[in-house]
Amino acid sequence: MNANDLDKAFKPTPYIFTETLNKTLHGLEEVPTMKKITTRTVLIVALITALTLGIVYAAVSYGQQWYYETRFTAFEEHRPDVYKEVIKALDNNIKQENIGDGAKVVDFKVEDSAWVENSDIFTLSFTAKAVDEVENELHGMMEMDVDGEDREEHWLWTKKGCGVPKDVMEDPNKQLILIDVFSYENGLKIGNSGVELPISSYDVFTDEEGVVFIQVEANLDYIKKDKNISNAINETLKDSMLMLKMLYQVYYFKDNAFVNPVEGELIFEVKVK
Amino acid sequence: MNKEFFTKEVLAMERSLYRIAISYVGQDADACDAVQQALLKAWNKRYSLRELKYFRTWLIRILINCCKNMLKLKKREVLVLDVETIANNKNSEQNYELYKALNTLNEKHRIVLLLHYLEGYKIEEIASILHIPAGTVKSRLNKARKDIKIILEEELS
Repeated sequence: MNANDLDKAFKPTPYIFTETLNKTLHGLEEVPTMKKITTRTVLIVALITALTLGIVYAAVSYGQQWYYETRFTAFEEHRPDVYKEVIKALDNNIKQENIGDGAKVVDFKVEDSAWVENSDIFTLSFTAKAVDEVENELHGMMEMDVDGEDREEHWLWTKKGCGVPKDVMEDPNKQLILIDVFSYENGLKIGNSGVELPISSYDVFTDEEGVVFIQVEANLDYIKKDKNISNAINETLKDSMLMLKMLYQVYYFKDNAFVNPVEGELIFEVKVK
Repeated sequence: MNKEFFTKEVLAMERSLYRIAISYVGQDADACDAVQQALLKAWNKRYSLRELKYFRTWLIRILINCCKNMLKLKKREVLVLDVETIANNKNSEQNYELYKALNTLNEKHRIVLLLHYLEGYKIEEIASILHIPAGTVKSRLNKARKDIKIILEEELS
């Protein structure tokens, strides 16, 4: 048996595969190394500040400003101009609807969006919370097996560390549920066109309050150059508002397996400037 | 690791990535999804790779995990050979008998065979990619060779 024989067992690499590879590579953003401050550090600093000033702690206001100030400070440090434009363009008045069986399990919503033509960047932030927080503990599917290691058991990454879910969950007596976004058919779709709006980077994590936060970036330069995508945008755009749809699944984690998936869809409109 | 290095390496691995993905997930659309996920995951985690010389084995490991997770999530019990798709896309360059024989192999044996004979990885490198002992790689390779020989002989007779 030689490599030639074996290679002939496979058909030639299809065009769609090459195109997917090229599109994904083209969309990658050369963003500086993530410098993540631990949530614990943030909370301690916030607590000390609050005590010093005699301010009562208020609930976290989620959104991209919170994310860029606490989780991904490298953006402001390394691309200050783009950062300022994104913050300036932030729109948190999002018309949206969370539908399907997934909506009964997870309160999933868009926090804010920023479409910045000048810097060729489109950013979005989402939050998801378990509807039944007494019974369920929600995490992002991307927090599962995030190190790429192959193990017999699935490992979850949480603020407690990385390990089998029962060891690192906030409350192992609760049912672990996982929200799966941006995989398979779950990408951002432009209106009813079925055309995907490709993303260039994302971050998914669960914070101290049990909220799954998702931050997404897309490269507008790439989107503008792709006729199929830009046509779909132009056909969907109405009064500077662009309808986007995002399919997602929520899985129950039982006996080291992802079971009983329920599907939901988030339909929302972002302001395109 | 910068984008230039990442892109150059990935483009050089295109055929390998396709063969590995398709041998796990069986269909082009799923292979595309798996490789897209693997590339985004690898790019987002690129700073965790300390030595660039291991880039290819590292990316293959990530791709294999994406394929496995995809199969788990889609609740496929076994890789299903899509005969209808093959029939509709018949290409004179493809050896369907060998393809079918490969797909008859157990997933663990198939991937070891492909990584060794097709992608040219040594036993130790495959052990590192799959996180299994070198001895296990050898025994799986041996079993895969025997099985595929039997399958092909049966088909020919």
